[in-house]
Amino acid sequence: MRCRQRKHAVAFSEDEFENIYRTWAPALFNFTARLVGRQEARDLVQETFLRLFRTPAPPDRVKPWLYRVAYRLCIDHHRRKKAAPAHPVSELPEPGDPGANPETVYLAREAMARFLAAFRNLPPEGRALLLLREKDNASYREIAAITGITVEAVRSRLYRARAALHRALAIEEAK
Amino acid sequence: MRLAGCTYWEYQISLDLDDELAVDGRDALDRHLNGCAHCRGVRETFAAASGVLSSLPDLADPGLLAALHDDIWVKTYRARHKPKRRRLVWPAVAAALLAAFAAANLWLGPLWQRPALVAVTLAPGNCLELIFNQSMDSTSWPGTATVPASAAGRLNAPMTGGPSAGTAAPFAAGGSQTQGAPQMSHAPAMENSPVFGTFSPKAAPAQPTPAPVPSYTVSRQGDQLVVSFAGPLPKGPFQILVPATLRDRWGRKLGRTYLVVIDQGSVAVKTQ
Repeated sequence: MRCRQRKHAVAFSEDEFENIYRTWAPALFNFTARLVGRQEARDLVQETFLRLFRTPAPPDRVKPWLYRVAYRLCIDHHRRKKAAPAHPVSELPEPGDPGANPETVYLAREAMARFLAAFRNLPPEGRALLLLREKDNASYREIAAITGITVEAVRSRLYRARAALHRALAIEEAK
Repeated sequence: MRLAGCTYWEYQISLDLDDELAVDGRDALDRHLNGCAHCRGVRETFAAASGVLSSLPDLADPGLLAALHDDIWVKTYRARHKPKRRRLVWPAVAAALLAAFAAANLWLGPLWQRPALVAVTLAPGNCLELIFNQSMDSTSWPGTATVPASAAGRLNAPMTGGPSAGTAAPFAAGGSQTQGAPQMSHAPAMENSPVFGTFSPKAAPAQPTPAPVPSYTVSRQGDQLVVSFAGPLPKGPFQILVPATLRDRWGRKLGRTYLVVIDQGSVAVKTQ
């Protein structure tokens, strides 16, 4: 039986693609999972890397490219689902010291649960901006490139997201 | 207590957390914070949220990442190196075309067949039937071509040329209705020839006067032409012309004139 190779070109060699995956997949999965939940994040990250594989020309900078694609997939996912993501309980921090005071551990877990509940109530665009800035240490310029808005818009929207989180935390504290 | 201009300072606090404030702006913010408890609370909340967000635990455990890696690998490079069976596109197309051609031949008859006359019979009632190999489009026939008896009689003379020269049989010819007189290849009769010089032509042997050929009508009935004579047929051999315009199955027009020789019950046909 005669065989032939698929002829379409790819932008990366196997080793390059492997390095990109090992470098960026964990952070990308964290970013995506906090926007859409863990189960959906697996599919969206997979779709992101498949698009990277199929892109005809390699992007100049891989990180903004990956985050931009993942961000748009998450926004599209939210528009389709219109539902808040289900964050797993395992996201709450485990007690680091076995000998710590159980009451302190309990209060810390309660505080984290309230914070995550307030964070989940933010719109996905605000959550993405906060995660990119605080968790991934992205600059305003990088955030602008990922989300497709201007640097000035990043400034004001980051402030609005922080203010909204502040209000949501106040509501959670009052409960 | 929240002041009227605190929104501006909250925005400055957000910029300060991101190290986006200049020195002058930071000094002004510090002066405002010294006198505004609300903005101090906002700054503490913003800073705490920033600290919590930056220390969020990783959600991607190694097992999940490895499984995800395998999924991506299967769909990218492993699929790229997977031997692929050669597609049988062109043989399938050729087989489909051949099957369609065979089905069309079975359903419509041989596609290469051209319309042709297959049989001629003498029918009762002074009728001649020309049978073709397929049904014809009614518009392809000239309809009814009637040859007047006078025209048939004028041509009913011994011929000195043409395809039947040398025969002593009387001839008649038919033609299309538009031309009035039938078209037939023949030489003029001897009595109508021009005379060159003074000589006495050799007298032709006396021949019996042939009986006139009655006028005839050509009409179409399905896949056959019917030639109906207006009167009784002569006893001797004679011939008529039957014009027809045929169309093959592709719509191409084929003009045919059939020379039908009738001799006491036997019929022969030649295509002109």
